[in-house]
Amino acid sequence: MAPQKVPPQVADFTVLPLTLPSLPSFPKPTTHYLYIRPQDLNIPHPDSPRSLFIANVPFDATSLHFRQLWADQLGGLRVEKVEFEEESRSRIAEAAANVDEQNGVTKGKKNKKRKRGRVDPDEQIENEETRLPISWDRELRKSGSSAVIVFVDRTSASAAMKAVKIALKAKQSITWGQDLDGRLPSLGSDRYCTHHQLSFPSAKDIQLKVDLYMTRFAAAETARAKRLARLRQVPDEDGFITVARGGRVGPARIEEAQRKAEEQKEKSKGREDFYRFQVREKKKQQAGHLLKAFEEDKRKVQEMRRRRGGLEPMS
Amino acid sequence: MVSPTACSRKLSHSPTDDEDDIWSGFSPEPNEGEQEGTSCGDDENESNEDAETSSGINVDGYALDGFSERDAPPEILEDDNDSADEHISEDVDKDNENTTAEDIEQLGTVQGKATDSIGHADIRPRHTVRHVGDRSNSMSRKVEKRAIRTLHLAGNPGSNVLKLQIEELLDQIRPSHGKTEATAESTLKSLKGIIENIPNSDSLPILQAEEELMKFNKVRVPFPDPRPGRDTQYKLQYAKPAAINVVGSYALKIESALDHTVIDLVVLMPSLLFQDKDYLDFRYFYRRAYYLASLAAGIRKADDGNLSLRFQHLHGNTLLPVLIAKPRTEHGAQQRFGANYVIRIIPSAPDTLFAISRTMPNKKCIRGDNDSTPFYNASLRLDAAILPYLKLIHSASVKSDFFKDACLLGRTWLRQRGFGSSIATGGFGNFEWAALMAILLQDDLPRGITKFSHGFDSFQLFRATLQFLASRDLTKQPIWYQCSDGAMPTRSTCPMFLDGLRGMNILYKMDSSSYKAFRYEARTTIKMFGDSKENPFEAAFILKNDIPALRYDAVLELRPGPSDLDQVYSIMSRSLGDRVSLIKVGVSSQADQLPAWILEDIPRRTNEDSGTQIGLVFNPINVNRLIDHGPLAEDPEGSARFRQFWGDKAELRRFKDGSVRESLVWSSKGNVSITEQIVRHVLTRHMGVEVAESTIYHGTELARKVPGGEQQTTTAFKGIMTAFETLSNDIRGLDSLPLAIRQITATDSQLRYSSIDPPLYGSTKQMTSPASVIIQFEGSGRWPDDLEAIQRVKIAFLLKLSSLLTTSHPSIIARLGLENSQQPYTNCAFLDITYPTGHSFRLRIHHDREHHLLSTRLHSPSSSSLLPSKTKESLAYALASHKRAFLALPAHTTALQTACFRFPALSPTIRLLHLWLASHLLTPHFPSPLIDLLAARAFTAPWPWDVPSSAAMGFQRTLFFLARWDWRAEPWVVEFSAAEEVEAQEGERGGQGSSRRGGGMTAEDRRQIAVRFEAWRKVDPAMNRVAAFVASDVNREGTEWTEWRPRKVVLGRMVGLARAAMEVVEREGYRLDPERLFVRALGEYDFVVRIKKEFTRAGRRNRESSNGGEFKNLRLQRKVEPEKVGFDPVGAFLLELEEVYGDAVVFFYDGYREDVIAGLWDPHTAKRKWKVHLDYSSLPLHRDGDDVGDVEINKDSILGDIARLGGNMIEKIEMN
Repeated sequence: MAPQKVPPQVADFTVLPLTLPSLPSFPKPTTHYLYIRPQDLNIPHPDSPRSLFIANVPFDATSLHFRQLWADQLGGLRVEKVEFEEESRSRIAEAAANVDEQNGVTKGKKNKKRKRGRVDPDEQIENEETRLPISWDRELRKSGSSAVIVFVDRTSASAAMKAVKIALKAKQSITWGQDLDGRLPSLGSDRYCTHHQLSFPSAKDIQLKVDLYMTRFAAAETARAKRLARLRQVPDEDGFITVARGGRVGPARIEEAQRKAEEQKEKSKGREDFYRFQVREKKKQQAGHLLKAFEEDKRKVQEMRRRRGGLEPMS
Repeated sequence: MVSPTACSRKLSHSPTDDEDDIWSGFSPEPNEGEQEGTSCGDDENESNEDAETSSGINVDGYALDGFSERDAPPEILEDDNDSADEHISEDVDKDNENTTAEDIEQLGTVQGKATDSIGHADIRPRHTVRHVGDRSNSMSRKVEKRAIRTLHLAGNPGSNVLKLQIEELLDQIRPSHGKTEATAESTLKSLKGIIENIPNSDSLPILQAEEELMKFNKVRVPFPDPRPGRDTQYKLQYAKPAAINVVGSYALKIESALDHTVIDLVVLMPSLLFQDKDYLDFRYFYRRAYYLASLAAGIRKADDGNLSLRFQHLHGNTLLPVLIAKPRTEHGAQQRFGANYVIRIIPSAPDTLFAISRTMPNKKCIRGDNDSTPFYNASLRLDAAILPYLKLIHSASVKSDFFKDACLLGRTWLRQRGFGSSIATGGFGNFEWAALMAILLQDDLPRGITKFSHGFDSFQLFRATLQFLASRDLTKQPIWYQCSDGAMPTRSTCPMFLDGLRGMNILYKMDSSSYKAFRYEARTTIKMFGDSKENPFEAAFILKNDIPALRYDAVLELRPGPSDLDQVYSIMSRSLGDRVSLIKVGVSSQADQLPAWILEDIPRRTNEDSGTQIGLVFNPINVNRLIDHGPLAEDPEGSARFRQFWGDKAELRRFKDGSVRESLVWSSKGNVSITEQIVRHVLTRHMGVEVAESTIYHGTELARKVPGGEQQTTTAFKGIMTAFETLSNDIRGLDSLPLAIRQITATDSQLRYSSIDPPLYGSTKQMTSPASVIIQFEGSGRWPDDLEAIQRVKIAFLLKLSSLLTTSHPSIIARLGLENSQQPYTNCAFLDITYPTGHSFRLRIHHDREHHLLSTRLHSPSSSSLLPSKTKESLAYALASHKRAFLALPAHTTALQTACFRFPALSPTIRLLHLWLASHLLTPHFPSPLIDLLAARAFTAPWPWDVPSSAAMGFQRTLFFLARWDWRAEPWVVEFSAAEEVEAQEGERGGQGSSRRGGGMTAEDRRQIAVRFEAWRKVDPAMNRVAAFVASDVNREGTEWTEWRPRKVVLGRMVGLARAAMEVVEREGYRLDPERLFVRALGEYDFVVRIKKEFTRAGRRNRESSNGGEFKNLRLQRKVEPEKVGFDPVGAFLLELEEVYGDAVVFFYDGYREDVIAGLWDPHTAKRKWKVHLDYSSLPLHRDGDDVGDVEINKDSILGDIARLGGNMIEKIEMN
């Protein structure tokens, strides 16, 4: 792949070619292309001004990769954190779901995904202690996904962008994953071996985690029941009492209500074959149905004829 | 007997006739009066019948209609307890009783009646061309009306389709009298003129006559074998024919438009040529041969080379040579194929020439023979009976409206099965069909045979005829029609249907082997008509059923062909007995090509140098029996015979019941099947070592492709099934479980006999992929109502189970494993249980409330709009996987276990199909249950064949069905339990009312499946989400295993591969080298990733066995390695590849050999305008004058990525 053929810029993205070391199983040297631009300031996020947006992230990218890239090869700048597409998308989703979500979540790899749905600050059941262990030692990115690189400050971010352009102009060859050997879990069969091992964690640990989870869950349930009971008893400022789950008579299950409604409907129908005209109508209707079915069959056979070039015996 | 003029199309030779209109003198019915006269004079019975028929229609129209609407004629259904028909007839009765029957209905009936009688009138045509058109019009109108009334009576919309299809088929195959026929008729006219002008010859001694014909005309008299001897005294002569007639299908207008037109021209030899005793000792046949040769000479002389003339044996009967005249076309190249009709000139004798009594089958007509000569007699009689049969068939076609159509249906049925009149194709063809049906329509049938009603429609006539042929064994219960002194010929095992009025055994060309084969097919078709779940139309008339490779479980090739085939047949049938349901001598599908020879040549018989093939169809229940029981030791005579037949293989044994018997013991070890052992043994004993050794046995090659496949059953899975039983008992035996166990269900392919390798097969000590099992506890109110909490409770249960189990059974190793860590609502834990025997199981807990929680959470209107899309996705994923793993899979597994038990060949069939798909790298696209269903169809709806009785048959027929599967327009439906229903019905004949039990599908269920299929096609017309729709009676959604994959491109490829395979199978037949079906073509993929040897299956096996080989003691000591259970690095690698690149690449993988992953770039990754979020790694391209450039997929970098991800597992990556 000859990099000089590649345009330096697409839309407002700068194209940064990355050289990848070749392997004996595929000796051809390959180049990967990152699309970089400063983060769009219209995205209302406090980190936006000091971030770069990167499209087409390599599948094996880790935050270490990007830290190393800017630290060693592009101007010696410090990356504070890297948010990959999957993670940030789930964060937006959570924000949209109007779940208040500022409870000091550590930046793990998969942890974000484990906590969706209703999370109440005082019902924080799942955390580091109760979370089930993750069976992968390293996460992979979907091909063509994006990431946001957050630098320590605004100046570093713009310097980083500049460094990219300078490197491009100087036709400097930039290597992906340089000097990272041994600092990251390796790929290949080792990865799957580790995964297999991690999939079978020690029963004792799991038992502890599950027990703790269940204790907390039970506590949360009780707390919730209490709160609901309170809601039922105390009128709000307008003097209304909130309808809530629980209480002496549990709320009807939807499906049961529906069944009951069906039954009622059935009952109200009355007899259908009482009057002669009813019988006649019914018969007429049946005849209509049959005729329709016949037409349908005819259509089907026509269809067959068309499809197979006639219903011709095989020869 | 009246002269045949009135009924046959006689070529007029009286000079007063109008020469321009060749047909004017011999139209089938010149007028009504003559017709009446004919039938009166011909046969009193017939005229009676006519009267009765017409009165039947007019007076009792309603009842008649009622009958004729049914699918099958009730009278002849003695054997076939078709409950569907019973239902209908009940309905009919009810409707009839209902005196307030609707106006519409009565109106319909009356109108129908009117149309019927109009049809009657129309059916007697004067002008052929108009008649065809008119009739089909009035027919389709009629059929439509009838169909509507049928609906009223039966209420079953499905039966209409069959009627309409048959009508459609008939429209296509009815003879069209067009251009070809016009030219044919002019050729006939001139031919007739030529024949009439051949001069009489002098009477010459036989040898001199032959010599002169050779000398002056270069025509060799096609004398039958044995030739006339030198001392023959009598003289031969040619004289002008008494009459020349067009007969046969062409004259009767029952030839099919699909077949090559053959026009039979009968030349009636004058009686003056014959003497009284000519029926003896071939004398008639010598005279006939000479007459034919003279005709040939005369025609050749007078014709200007327009016709190419050949001799041929009529139906392969060497006694009856005929002359084939084929018009030459102008273009030399088209000489062979251009002319689409041939004229067959058949010399015939007046039917009064010899008394019928002289040629009865029990008479002896060849001096020197000790036995009666039925074949000779019948051949003699056939010549005299041609015109009487023409008359019979014609009168039947006049009496019954649908006779001709039924003949056409019969013809099509025979054609698709490769049956024909010639001896090599079974000796039952169109003529036999028509004659038999015509006789069965007569009133004066012997006791015990029910006459066909004249009100039957074409399909009913067809079905009734087939039913007759299927149900009555004419070798044991021969039929003597109008014949008082019926006596069987001596030592005959041939079928007998003797028509006393014409003196012929209609089935004289069939021997017991071909008759059995014929009945077998008829029975299969009748069985199919009784099977309510499939529309029988395709299988009966459309599908080609004469490919030997799809018909016989095993084929024996005897080279050179033995002279006495009857002996071979009797040896085979005696030795194989009830192990086989059919032995067919001669299976070549090209047998219907009768050899023809030029006039100067010596008569040619069938091509004998190709050897003889014997096809076997196994009886799956008995075929693998190890011990054969012979006669008791107390029966010295029987024992002696037994010993005489079996030789030293027979041994005296004492059996469990205390009896001492002669017996045979066969070996199940080694890879020679029992059938082959038997065949080789008896051939050696009775035909000699050379014959036995030169015999090739085809049939086990394919099955051997899967380990243990040659056993053709499920025995290889016995170990794991026992282990599963143990597991189940061990778990149920635990006392202190918090909840009682409701169910332990198997869900793994290894537990439903369908994994390619049976677990622990060969030298393996440890199962690598554990068998999935589901455990369900009794319901309890203490489960939490929260989806994530439920998963934790499951873990707690599994841990409890694990500790209890290992405490009570210390030898068991149990390990808790986690899965689906990305999906919070999906099952997240399992328990691997490994026994010291090496058997491993993977246990998951099924909690039934999960389904409800997931679907309410997902579908309830209040929450669904509020859910974040990510949550929604993972809920939907959880719901789908819950349904699949905990609902569909157990049901499927149970159904398949039963099916494998019922159809022994099903398990190896599925495994072969698995292997086939894997060889073509399709493993990732076809989940195991889907493969099961694809293979099961050949068993649950096997028509036109019966249920396959060997793996090879099952597999090849599955390929046949797959090759024909139009998946865009047809759902694939497998009915496991409905098949049981049919069998139960068959088993307990007469047990009515029991047919509706079990989980079979009703017509309504089937309709719903069809509706669902159509709905899917409407919702997803591009077929992205659901391409294949595959349903079974236990999983009726149809999309359980096919959502998202296989994709269209993959399905298309699979069907294409099946087609290619079928081509090979058809071409190579039973000599097929099975390897050829499993050869993968890697050149068709964009790139190929080769896995390093040590990670492939072969590498693993090697390592295991080499370890063991070096240190035998180590191997013995080696314990199970639970850490290895479920470890599949290449599989995990492929899954990750699909996660990362699934949107841009379609991956293919051989999941059996595990040595190759291949890929195709998705076409949507082609060059396009740049955008931020592409779902694949891209490569920017220059574009002038635009700052937003193009991009295309960065193929090199992706392949580099794959190499990096695979790391040390990859040998190399090749780009194509």
